[in-house]
Formats: sequence, structure tokens, C-alpha cells
Amino acid sequence: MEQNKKMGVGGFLKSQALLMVGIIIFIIFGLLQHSFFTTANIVNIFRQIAVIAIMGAGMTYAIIGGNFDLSVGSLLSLCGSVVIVTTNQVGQVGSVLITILVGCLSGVLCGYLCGYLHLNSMVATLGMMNVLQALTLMYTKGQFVSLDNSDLPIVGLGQGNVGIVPISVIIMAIFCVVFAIILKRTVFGHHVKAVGTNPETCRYSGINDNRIVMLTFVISGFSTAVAAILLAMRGAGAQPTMGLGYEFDVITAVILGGADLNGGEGSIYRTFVGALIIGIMKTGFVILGMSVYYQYVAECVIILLAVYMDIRASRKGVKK
Amino acid sequence: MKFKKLTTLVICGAMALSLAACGSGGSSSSGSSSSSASSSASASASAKSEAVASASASGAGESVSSGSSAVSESRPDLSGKDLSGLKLGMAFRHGSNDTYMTSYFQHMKNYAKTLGVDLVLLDAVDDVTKQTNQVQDLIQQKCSVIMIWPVNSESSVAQAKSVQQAGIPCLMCNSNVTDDGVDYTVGFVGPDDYTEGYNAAKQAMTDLGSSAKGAKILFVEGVNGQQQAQQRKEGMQKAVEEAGGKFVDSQTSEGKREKAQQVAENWLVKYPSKGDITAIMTFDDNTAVGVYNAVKAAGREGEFPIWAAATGDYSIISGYIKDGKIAGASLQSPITESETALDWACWIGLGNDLPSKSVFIDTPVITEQNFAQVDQGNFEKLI
Amino acid sequence: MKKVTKFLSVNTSIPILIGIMIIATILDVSFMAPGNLFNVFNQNAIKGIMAIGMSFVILNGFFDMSLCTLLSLTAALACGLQPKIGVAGAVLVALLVGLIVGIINGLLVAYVGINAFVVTLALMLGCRGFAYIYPDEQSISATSDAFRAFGTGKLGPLTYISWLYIIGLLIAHYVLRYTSHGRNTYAAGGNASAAENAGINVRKTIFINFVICGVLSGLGGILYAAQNGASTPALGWPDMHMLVIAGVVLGGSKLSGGYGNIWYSLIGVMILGVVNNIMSITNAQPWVSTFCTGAIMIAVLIADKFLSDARAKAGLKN
Repeated sequence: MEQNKKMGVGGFLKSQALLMVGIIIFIIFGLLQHSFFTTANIVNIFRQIAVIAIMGAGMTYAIIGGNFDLSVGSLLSLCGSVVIVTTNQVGQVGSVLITILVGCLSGVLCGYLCGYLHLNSMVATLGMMNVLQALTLMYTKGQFVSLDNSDLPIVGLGQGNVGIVPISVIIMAIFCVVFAIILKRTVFGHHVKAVGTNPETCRYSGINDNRIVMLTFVISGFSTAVAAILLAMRGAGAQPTMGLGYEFDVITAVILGGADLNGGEGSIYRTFVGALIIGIMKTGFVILGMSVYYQYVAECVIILLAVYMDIRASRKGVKK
Repeated sequence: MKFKKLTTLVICGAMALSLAACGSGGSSSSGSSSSSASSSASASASAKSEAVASASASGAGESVSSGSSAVSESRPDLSGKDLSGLKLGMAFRHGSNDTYMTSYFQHMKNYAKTLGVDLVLLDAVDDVTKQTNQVQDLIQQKCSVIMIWPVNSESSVAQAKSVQQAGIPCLMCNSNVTDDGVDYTVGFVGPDDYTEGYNAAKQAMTDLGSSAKGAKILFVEGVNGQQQAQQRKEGMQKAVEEAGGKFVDSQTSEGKREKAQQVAENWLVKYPSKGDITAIMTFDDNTAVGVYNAVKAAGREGEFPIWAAATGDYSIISGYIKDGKIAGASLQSPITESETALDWACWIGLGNDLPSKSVFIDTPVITEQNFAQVDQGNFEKLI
Repeated sequence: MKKVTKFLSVNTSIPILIGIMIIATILDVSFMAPGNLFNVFNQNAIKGIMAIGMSFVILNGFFDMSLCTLLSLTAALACGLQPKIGVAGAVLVALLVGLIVGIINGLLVAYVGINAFVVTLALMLGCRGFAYIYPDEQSISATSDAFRAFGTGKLGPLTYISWLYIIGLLIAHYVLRYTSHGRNTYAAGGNASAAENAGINVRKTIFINFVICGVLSGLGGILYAAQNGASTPALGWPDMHMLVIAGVVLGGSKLSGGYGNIWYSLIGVMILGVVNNIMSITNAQPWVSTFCTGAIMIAVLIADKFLSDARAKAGLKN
């Protein structure tokens, strides 16, 4: 807190470089296509990033704890199918609970493999990704599943609005704020950072590092389940391949947010800004009528520039 | 220590064994359960009447101007033929991407059981490299006919060539190989994607009436690089341009409903007022539902029609086309198509030839008006 | 006998591969037909070639995510440029692109010091963009008959590509075992700062390894284009790099670097290949194959962990 006050306006702007990049991109798109500045579009962008931002919040924990979770894309497919089918079978409250349970169970399994057995998280969660994809296919028989009754209140989670603000955006906001507070203000949050920085030291100082790592995966699985409910309800149905490739969007958001991939550092707020940049570009290229694939080239450049600036800044800091 | 090592190995082996066992067990059990579900549909398989085709031709004078009637849905007479010695192989594009492919995939399995032929059905999950490997596997297994539903029509040239070099007839299904590979195959059974798109869009432009001239059409593309999606787009574009309209925007959906929904949401922001959009067309029914969801959420339902090039999912036909949420599409039945393909594959396996190099199934245009004539049995829902 | 047990306890992946092959034979005898075994090798040769490049990077303690889309880009270039500048030119340009991507990866990781995951993920996204933009989002057929003939042609029971793979394995074995670059790779992967202190140019070693990986990934794309006679923008997406990394790691090389050899990558790639082949032969439901691939990845990691723990304990006793 003290440091923040000392930084002044210039320092504040520097610390918000990523947000500035986002705003600049937004303005450029807006100048090229005027409908970009409308309220409808801004609401639209936020609605479209809700899924990535929520999953990103969970992934941030896993990455701060020093692990990747590549299984989230497949888990998104599985939970999406589960919530639709169980809503048809057991009703709305039950389906939400079951879906979140499925997400957490998958997190427990990944967490056990990476936390207690100390397997390499990349290959282990890659294995889980295949397993979960297979379970999705088995569960749905590969069919598109849709709600029998698309007028249920639960559909509002994906499609409803409060005023002009979509409910999914409100959920995203609550989610990010709560996760940010847990990370910054609780003992658990500090332990996650400590374990990510140096698990050995933590063990000697009495922190159960295995359990902490496992919990980060459970958080990642939990947030993926929540995201899956929103995504499935937006279309009132789920395609078994729905989540394919989502893990890269999510990891890209976290990386754009400047999390340290060796563990120990990262912030939910910055991940959110990362997701926002991805969302602005996704919408922007479509509205400009350009190939969406330019977005990938732009993401490549922005990531490298952002990380490069970061490194330069930290080197300067060391020299002082 | 040695003991530990041994136990680990044994456990590992047991795990793999049980997996494999549960795998084959699972396949047979799920196969039989779904076969019972749809056996009613396929009982009269070989003599199936073309309910949809005849009905739509008589019932909707304004709708079908079908160009594909020349060889439409002819099926060989397999009655009295001994099919037990046949081993057919099929390299399938994706058994779980959308309802059409899944229905085709599952029904093909069941129908093979009904006919009593041995069918090896492999799923490439939309991966070209995997499909190439699977074609090699099928050649190794000495199948009498190999069917390919290509992941990619360009890549299938090499696949078809290797099948032909092994002395096995190669039958293309659903999407044909590109022109320079046709000589390696014995033929093609499936829909005419270009005509599907053309007929659907032509009907759409007719329905638009006076606003067809200068119509501003938005188009949702399928998976890029796939012939089927490309041909449907070309067909639709041709019909739109003939009627004096234009594709003002065209964007990929990667074949996914939720991506199509996002694309449509963005377009609705870009074209905010009534009259900016004359119609939205999509390459398939699944993405059309995504577009409809976006339009409904934006409160702009009824401002413009949504047309799909083709539909093959009864839940979409009854849930969206029936009450005009989606204005219409060319009708393509996965049951008819898979049965037709397997019939002809058996026919070829018995040493006969296809009647022509391309056998097209019938794909009439359906709309709210002639919905009632669709035969639900052709769209058995498998869940 | 002692030698054999020692060999097997170091090369834990060999008994695993043999075990899986025995199970395959039990499930279907035709698996063991020589034709089918050569078939499995041919099918996985291209993946193996890319795994050679990946092995260098992994032995060095890094990994390269950009492989999966780089190969669709080089495939598109190799096919798309043929009518304009001929086969040789097209292949050269495609290889050059692989080289350039490798150089960018290497420069940013080794000399700028950015995390390898970030760099290679960024380039993966970049390559994906160009792989769609260059061919205008379409598939391209190869026009040269010689190019296609090379992709599918056979010499004996093995395809040309398989022979290329075997040559590649031998060269890589030689480089890792008998050249200073190979020894530097192991040293830098095992303990970078110790290697630095011992006078090894760690940065140069890392740089060279990323370049090797880039070129071989590019070559993989070209070979896929030759084998399929065409390129498609979706080639390799979304998990080819993961399968290659998994192949190297399943074979027994450590992702943390410094431990492993080129033959491990051969075994790991073949484990995954055999699993896929069994699924084809037994005509299993599609999800079974996906499930088994995932479960075996996890099982092999667990088995390897226990075996190497046991090894470490035994080592302490000695």
C-alpha cells in the first residue's frame, strides 16, 4: 500500500501498462468501425469474456502454485454436457450442484496426481484432458445435448440481464473479486504464493504443500464448472467438443496478465485484463470483417512485447 | 526392491489390460443398446420408401427445384445376397462433433448388424494425420471395400490412391475427394453439397420477394479448409448473387454452435438497425441455432430470416424450423445417407459397380410450410 | 541376467512397451503380423522425427509448444509455393520458416531470458494465424507428383519417411553422445549454473537446440504435406505438440532436463502409436481410444515415478 502511494500518476500508469494496451486496441478498433464504441458492443465484449475470465481466475491459482492445468478445456465440455443433461433429469438446483461436484472431483484427481504424487503437471493434466474428453463422449454418446425446456430460470444465467448488464457478467465480477480477495488477504492465498515460490521451504516451515497444490487444482476445476454452466446456458445446449482449445485461450489470458509461470506470482485482476484484451480483439476482428485468425498474430506480438517490457522494467529495477 | 518393481509393473499391466477390456466390453454393450433403439427404424431398411423425397416433391410446388433428381437415392437390391463374408472398413471424419455425424456413425454400426456384414468403423476425430493412419490400418486388415468420409478432400487423394494400390475398391462418403483423386475411387455416395446450398438460398431469395434485390446477407462459415463447407457456401453465394443480393460479411464458426453465436452477437452490434441485415445464412443447422440464440437474446427476432444450407437433426427441425425460428434448409437424413452408403459398399463388395460415379441422396428444401411431410423415422434420435 | 535386469531398470519404458504389445497380441493376434508392425512404425515416423527435435529441447530442460501450428504453416508453404517456385524452392522456403521460428524461439529464450512456455506459446499463436492467413483459410493440394510420391513411396517394408526417421535417430544419437554440443546439452539441462561455471556456453547450447527443434518441426509439416498430398490449416491443432512431448516423456526423458536419450523418444512415440493401432484393430468405440491414451499417459508417469524412486533408493544402498 505504502509503495502504491509513492508511485504517483506516472508510476500508476506504468503499473497499468497492460490496461493501457487494452484501451489503445479498443480505441483503434473504434476509430476503424464506429459501432465499436456503442454500449451494446461493450456489454457484448464483457459477456463474451465471462467464460475465459472465470476459468482464468481459477487457472491463475494453479499457475501461481507452480503447475499448469491443461485439462480445463475438456472439463468445460464435460461439465457443459453434465449440466444440460442433469437439468433435464433432476432439475435445476441439483444440476448445478452435480456439475460443480464434477468440476471439483476432476480438480481433486489432477491435484492428487500433481500435488501428492508430484507428477509433471503438463503431461499429467494432458492425460486428464484425454480422459475427460472420453468421458464426455461416453456420457453424451457424442450427441449435441440440449435442454428440453429452454424457458427455465436457470437459462437466465447465460442469457438473462439485470438492466443492461448480463447476469453472466455479474457472476464473473463477483467471482473475480472474491478470488482476488482470497489470494491477497487470506492465509491460504499467501500459502499458495509461498508454495509456488519454493515448496521445500514451505514444507520445512510447516505448510502442507501437497494439500495447497491440490486445492489450487480444485479451485481451477470449480471455476471451470461455473464457466461451463454459463456457457451451456447461453446456448441452452452443449456440443461435446465445445471446450476444445479453450485451455489455450485461458492460459494466454493468464500469461498476458503477467503471471510467473515458474510459480509464486500473479494476480486475478491482471488475468482479467488479459481476458479483456483477448475479448476486445475477438470482437474487433469480426466487426471489421477481417479473418479472425489475425487475432492470433496480434496475440503473439502483444504477449512477447508485454513480457519483454516486464523483463526490461525488472532489470532496471535491479540496477537501481 | 525387486518385489516392489515387479508389483508396479504388474499393476501397470493389469491397469492397461482392464482398460482395454473395459474398452471392448463397452463398445459391444453400448452398440447393442442403441441398436435395439433404432432397429425399428432400420427393419425395413432395404425397401425403405423415400417418404420425404416424394412428399416434398408433391406437397410443395413452390419449394423444390431440385437439380439432383437424376440419380437421387437409388439403392441397390441386396435381397437374397449373401453378405456374411464381407468385411467393410470405414475411415470416419468425426463421430462426435455434431448430431448429424454422430447419428450417421451410430446408425452405420447398427445397420451393418442388421445386414449381417462385418464393419470396421474408425473415427479420426477431425485429424487428417490420424485418418491417414487409419486408412493404412484398414488396408492392413484386408477389408473388401474401404469407405472414406474425408476429414479433408485434398488429403484424401493420397489416401484413396494407397487404397487403390492395395487392390481394394475405395468408396467416398458424404464429401467427395477433389477432382484429381476421383480416378482412384470407385465413386461417391452422399449429398450434393453445392446443390443443397444453392437450393436453400434460392428458396430463401424467393421468399424474400422484393427485398431480394440488393439483399445484404451475412454468412456463417464452417470449418475452414473443408470441401463440404466450402461447396455449400459457393452454392448459397451463387443463388444469392443470381437474385441480385450480396454476401456483405462472412466469418468462420469453426463448426461450433457457441462460436456461431458469438459471431452473430458481434454482427448484431455492427449492424444495429432494422434493414441493415436482409438475412443470415449458415453452412449448417447447428450453427443456425447459435445465430438464432444471439438474435433472440438481442430482441431482434423476426427482423430477418435465418437460413441454413442443410439440416439433418430432428430436434432442430422440430424445435426451430417447424415454427419458423429458422426459416428453412435442405433436408439431409443421416439415416438414409448412411444406409445408402453401406448398401452400395456391400454392392461393390459383391463385385458390382456403382450406376454412376456419383450417387447423390435426395435433399429437398424444407420450410415451415412443408415441415409436416418430414419422416421422423429418418432422424432417429439416438440418446 | 544381471545385465538384463539392470538394462531394464534403467530403461523402464521398454518393459512397458513390451507389456502393451503383449496385451495387443492377446486382444488380436493380427497385431503381431510383420506387416502390421511395419505399418505402426511407418505411421509414427513423422511424429518420431519431430520428437527428435523435441528431445534436444527437453534434454536441455525446456519444451517447444510452437511445433503444433508451425507444422501446418510449413505444410501450407510447401504445397502453396510449388506452382510458383518449384518443389525444391517450396521445401527450402518451408524449412527456412521452421528455421526462423526456431531462431526466434532460441533468441528470446536463451538471450532475452523469457520463459520458454511463454515464448513458444506466443509463437504457436502467431504461426496459427499465418497458417490460416497464408492459404486464405483453405486447404492446398500439392501439385508436384514427385513430392507426393516421396510422401507415400516405400523402400522395402518401410516408407521413405521411415528411413529418414532412422537416419535422423542415428545422427541424433551421434550428436548427443559424441559431440561437445550433445554433452553440453546434458550438462546445461542437468544444472545450468554449474554448466555455466564449468565454462560451457549455456545460452548458445539452448539457442542451437531450439533451432534444431524448429527445423525438424518444419520438416515434420513438409512430410505431412507430402504424405497427405495436401495441406490443411487445421493440421496439428490443437494437440500435436502435446503428443510429441508426451512421447518423449513417456519414453523416460525427464521434462526437467539432463536425463534421457534419443531412443527413449522412439519408445515413447511407439507406445502411443501401438495404443492407437490396437484401437483400430479391435474396432473399439471412439472414446475408448482417447480414454486409453490419457490413462496410459498417467499410468506410465506413475509407474516411472515408482520405478525411479526404487532406483534412487537402491542407488543409495549401493
